[in-house]
Amino acid sequence: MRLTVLLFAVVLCLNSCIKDAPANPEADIESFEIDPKLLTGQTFIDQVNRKILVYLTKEAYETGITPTITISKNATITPASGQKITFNGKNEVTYTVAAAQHPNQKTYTVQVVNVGDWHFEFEKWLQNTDDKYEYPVEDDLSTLWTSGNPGIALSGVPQDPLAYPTRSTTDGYLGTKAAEMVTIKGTPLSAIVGIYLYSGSVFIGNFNPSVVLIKPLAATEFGAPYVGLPARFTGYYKYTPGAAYQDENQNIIAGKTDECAIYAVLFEGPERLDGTNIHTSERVIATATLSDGSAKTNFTKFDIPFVYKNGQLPAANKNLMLAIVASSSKDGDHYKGAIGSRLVVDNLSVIPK
Amino acid sequence: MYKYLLLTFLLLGSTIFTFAQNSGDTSSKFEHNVQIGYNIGGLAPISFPNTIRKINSYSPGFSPSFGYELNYRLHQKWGLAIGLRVDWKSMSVQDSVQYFHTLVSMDNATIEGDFSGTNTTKVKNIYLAVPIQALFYAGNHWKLKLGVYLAHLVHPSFYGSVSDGYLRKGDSLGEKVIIDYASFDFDKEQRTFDFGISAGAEKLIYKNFAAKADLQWGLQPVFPDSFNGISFNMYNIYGTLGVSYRF
Repeated sequence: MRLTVLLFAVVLCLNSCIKDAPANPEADIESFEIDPKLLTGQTFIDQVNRKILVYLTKEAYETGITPTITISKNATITPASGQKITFNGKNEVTYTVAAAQHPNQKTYTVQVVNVGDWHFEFEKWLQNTDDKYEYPVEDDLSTLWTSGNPGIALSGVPQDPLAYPTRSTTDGYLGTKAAEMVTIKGTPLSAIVGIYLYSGSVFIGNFNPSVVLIKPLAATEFGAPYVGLPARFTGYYKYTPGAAYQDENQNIIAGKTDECAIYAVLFEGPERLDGTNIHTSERVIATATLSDGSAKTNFTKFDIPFVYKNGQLPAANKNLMLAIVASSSKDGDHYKGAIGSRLVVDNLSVIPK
Repeated sequence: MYKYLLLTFLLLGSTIFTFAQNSGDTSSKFEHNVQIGYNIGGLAPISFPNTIRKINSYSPGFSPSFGYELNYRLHQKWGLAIGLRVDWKSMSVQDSVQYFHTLVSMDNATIEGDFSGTNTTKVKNIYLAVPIQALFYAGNHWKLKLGVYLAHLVHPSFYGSVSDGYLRKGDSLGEKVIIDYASFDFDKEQRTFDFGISAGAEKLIYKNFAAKADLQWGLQPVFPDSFNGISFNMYNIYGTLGVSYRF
């Protein structure tokens, strides 16, 4: 019966052979707190591209900030939390976080975001290092626009810019670069969680991948600080709807044609709105929405006035934020649309009052 | 594959049979056994990686074993045993993992990362196996056996879920993605052939009934090298407790 004993020993080993925990390999900046009086908008930590986007008052930008930083357990950071950092005319400062497990480390770049004159030509694009999707950047390389691409990267699309629904195109207005959005078929992995279609989208704001699987609509965080009041939203677009419209369960809806969506929303900040409440929040102050989402073969200009809720202008002391959103399928946020629908937008502007 | 197993079984069985018949005295040298047992064990790594932090629960599940075994006595102390058995090799385990590297691929879609959280794995594989063993008659109604087994996975079932945790995309430096619940199914990724060491002991306890215990220790990882869903090798390590009836 010794064998039986041996046998039970093997089974018991399932419990007794647990090894010591590995040293923490993670090197995150988890939070980056700045005195709210120095901010015009909420700080966002872009964990995908390792950037910390800060929206500072003019004074804070000139005199510097003293952030309180929390990092992964047992990691170390330089410069340290509580140490003053100054920008000295640049708009970038870098932090290095070293994990407890060597040699893991991450470098985060703090970027001061200046929205400037709210005129966007989508001329400069960068590529994500790991997943190879493109994203538009401003002239100073700061990130103001993002897309659903970081979320779609999680469903295992091939590492090729053209495999993603949002990318740059040279088919722009006046022959320059523009933002191209194409509704694509889901991947075999996304089908497991019931996603059969991804629309292309660009929006002002941030993409928070941490919640993308549990609450996908909350992953798109819209808006950037806006000074003054907007009067009109203008730009150029062209649109070709895909051949067959499908619902979220891949059923083809005969006779239905896909539409694009282009809109701007002014709301009370500094907290951002997201995909769950951009249309419904009490904090929405004004909207400018393209009403005609139908096919446009050539670049077509739009010029839409902002419609203020109840015709009322907000009080002057409100912390305002503005979001611009464009999507190749109007109901793409609910995984409905037509595969192949293609929207190109260029030269978007917000004209102040 | 199981065609080859059956062939192996038939060839070796008939060899023993012929050999036995040639020696003339078949009745005493030749013994048939039918066996029934219960498998306890797991599809497990030989040494636990440090990414497994805690086993929350383990159950062998429904794991019967049915078999036929042919014994041939070559000598007073020595013999040969060849069998054919159907083994349910099951287990249900829930464990806490930390920084557990995984890569899941379907067609051309791939997602890779380090998962921290709860992992639940349910295995319900059914194997058709041929054990080929040397037999030692130890006296006092004891039989000891040592040899190999060859097995074909007749019905693969390996599935489970990851929950209450997060995935670091790519590796532990990637961005965090919270995972509430996600299921996985690696049935078809398993190798259909398995082999390993087979050892056992049995003792005649009442008339023609014997109590038996044996161990089948797989020597080949159940998942091929090309599979990256689990970052360590797992082997079929199962013991069987049962009874045997000779006729």
